[in-house]
Amino acid sequence: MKESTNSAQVEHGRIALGYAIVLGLALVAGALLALGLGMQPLAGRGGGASAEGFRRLYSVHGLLLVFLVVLPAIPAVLGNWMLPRALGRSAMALPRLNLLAFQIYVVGALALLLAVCFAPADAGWSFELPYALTSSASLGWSLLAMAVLATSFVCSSLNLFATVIASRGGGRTWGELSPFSWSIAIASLMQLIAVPLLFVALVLLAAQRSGAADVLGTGPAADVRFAQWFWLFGHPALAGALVAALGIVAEVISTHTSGPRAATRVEATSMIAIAVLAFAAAGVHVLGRGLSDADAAGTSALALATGLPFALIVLGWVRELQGPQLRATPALGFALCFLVLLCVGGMSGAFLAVLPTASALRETCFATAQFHYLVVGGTLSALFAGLYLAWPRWFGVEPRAGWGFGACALFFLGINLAFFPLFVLGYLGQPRRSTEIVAGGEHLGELSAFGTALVVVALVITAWNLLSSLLGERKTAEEAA
Amino acid sequence: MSATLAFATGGMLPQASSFAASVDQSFDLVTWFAVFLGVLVTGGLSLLLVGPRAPAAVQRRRLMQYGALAALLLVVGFFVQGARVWADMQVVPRGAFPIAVALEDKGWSFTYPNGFVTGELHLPIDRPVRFLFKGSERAYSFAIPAFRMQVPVALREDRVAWVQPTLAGEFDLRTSIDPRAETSIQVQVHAEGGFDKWYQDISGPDLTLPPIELGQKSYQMRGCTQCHTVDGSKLVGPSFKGFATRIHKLTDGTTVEPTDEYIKESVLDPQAKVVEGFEPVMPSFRGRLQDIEIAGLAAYIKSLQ
Ligand code: HEC
Repeated sequence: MKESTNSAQVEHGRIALGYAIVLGLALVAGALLALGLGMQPLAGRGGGASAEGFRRLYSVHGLLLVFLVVLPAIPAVLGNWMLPRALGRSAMALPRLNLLAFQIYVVGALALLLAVCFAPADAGWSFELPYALTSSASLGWSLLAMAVLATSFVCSSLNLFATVIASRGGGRTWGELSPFSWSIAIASLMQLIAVPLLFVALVLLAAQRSGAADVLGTGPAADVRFAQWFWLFGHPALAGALVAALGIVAEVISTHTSGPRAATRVEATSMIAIAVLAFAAAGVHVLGRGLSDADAAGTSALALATGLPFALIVLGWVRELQGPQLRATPALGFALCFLVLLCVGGMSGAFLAVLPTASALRETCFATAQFHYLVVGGTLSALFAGLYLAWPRWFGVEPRAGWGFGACALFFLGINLAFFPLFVLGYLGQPRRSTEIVAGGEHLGELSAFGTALVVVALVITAWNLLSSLLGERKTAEEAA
Repeated sequence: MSATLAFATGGMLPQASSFAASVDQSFDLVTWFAVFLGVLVTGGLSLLLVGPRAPAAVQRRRLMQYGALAALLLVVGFFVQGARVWADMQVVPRGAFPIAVALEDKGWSFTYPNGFVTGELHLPIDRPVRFLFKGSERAYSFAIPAFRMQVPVALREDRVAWVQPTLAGEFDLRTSIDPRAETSIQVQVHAEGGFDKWYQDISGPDLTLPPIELGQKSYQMRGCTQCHTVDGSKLVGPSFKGFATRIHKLTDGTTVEPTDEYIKESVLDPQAKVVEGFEPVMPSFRGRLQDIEIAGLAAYIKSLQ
């Protein structure tokens, strides 16, 4: 079936490049918005956007980065680039569906762009109730764009999952899959299950907002009910992005060391455990919002348990890294960066899962910091590690290592400067998404804005370094000709 | 919280409630471990990068087993410690001082057991306080970082929480759920004895006193003396001397008889009828005085010759 469609258009490498371009643009836009957000509290009284403008700013920032960058980043870009080769295939199992997924993604991205320009949402990317119900902004466009993008994710995941499954014919078994293939299979299965739940949440919200049906109810627990639906999608979907990140980092580490390969069996089992726990512990987002005591304790335990499989994977890598040889490349640099950010993000997650600290910290920017360490720091460093790994394989050119290391160091520094201060601010009681900064936190706010600027610079250098290496290749090709 | 953060932030956030210490303990537990892990990971990685490479034979075989066991113990430890503190926070102690809380358009409103309603939050030290949060048409959260307390109140849903302040002083109270309602005020925790005095002041006179005596007490306790006198001298407001034997001329040129109704209206809705020669600056006492106390005031004011 794979050979029947050999049109160059459906070639997965081109699709990956297409994703990379749209995604890169969205990433830069989202990062610039982040810079604007970081500046807001500092602009202080007088300057800066209105409260209304600020809400639009963070909503648009979140929507762009989550739906156009974080969720598709690794499966769509690196999956398309590397999966068939990792499986020893020449094409995807469902190339047409894969192409369709990309086309829908582009349509979704355009729809989101229109929404951003003409009808910006103002209730955050997770549409918090009751605000999302009473907000006077027209959320319709954003909801529509999300639904389109969700459709794309379903198609894309279906193809990736099918490709892994199909590859096992001809004597290949599950045991022979690389951790990267495993991670893509698990991550796409997670999306396949989680994304339809997003449809449910979107329909519930749209129906309730339009007044078409009283589905969420206006009863006491309506907003918690919606949040539960939403996070039943959001938590596993983001965890899926992390699973894919784990896979690519495992790949990078194993190609850079000579230590004993971490047991793929342990890694795969851990990833499956992460997937299961991600669905089970989604309630952690409504911890302290009217869950019964037993539910709260159960959710807390499940959320904490999520740390265990991560720990197992990291331990395996550490053992691997101890091997006699280590090849230093920007790819490894970003992989190690991922490792540290994962540890910080994971450990700080414990604060939000342990009941008393969770109730003291929820809705503060501590949660913002934790989310960004994992979702931004983690996904992006894994994406860059993967890009530096895949680039030479795909284009036959080496991006300059010096700039790569420099961008990596800057990225690492930037992420830590941008988000570590938010842990402290959150502890001091700084509410999340506020235009005002808590007394005594001004310098921390400045530090954070500075860190965000560093991240933007690191992104620009990375993009430039990767793209300019392509120009170099053309030259050598001409010279060779 | 922990020494780490206190150090990082110059100790800006005090431990002002009995929870603060135990929540901070949870905090410390996780923080110290996070720091430990951070040092281990970053240090270990740096060593790996610059240090000599171990020969293949000397791989730490048991790393996985021990590491996994340590992680498991930690997770269980975190959970148990946290759950204990949490359980403590759920059970309101008997005899806690009750205060009803609501967030209205004009800001917070706190109702004390004597029926006194105010926008200020005053708390006793070292005594448990039970908050009853009244659900309203908007969800809000009630957060006092110095107490490590944050209570989310859902739409139209009542909720109970308690806290025991352990430090006198003023602390920030914030709300953060609904982005439109950023209402931050100061909570006043009175030092030993200070709260009782404040509470007695707002409690007003003993309502079982005979009307004129009740009125006199009320006149003194409710701050009427800031603007009124009984000896004929003018302050911000007219004197009550000979109140019952005068005709009261108003700014609109009409006059009014010194009846009980007029006094009641003056107290509840002072701007309805403004006495000639005075500014309309008297505050309304609506919600602060019960009818019986107003009747006492009327009796007292009319009794002044
Ligand atoms: C902030 C100053 C202030 C306070 C406190 C105050 N008043 Fe007044 N009051 C005034 C002023 C000024 C007037 C005259 C203007 C008016 O009628 O509103 C007035 C008028 C009155 C009148 C009508 C007087 C008349 O001669 O017709 C009554 C009765 C009265 N106050 C009762 C009270 C009582 C009882 C209290 C305490 C519970 C009180 N006031 C507290 C400022 C005050």
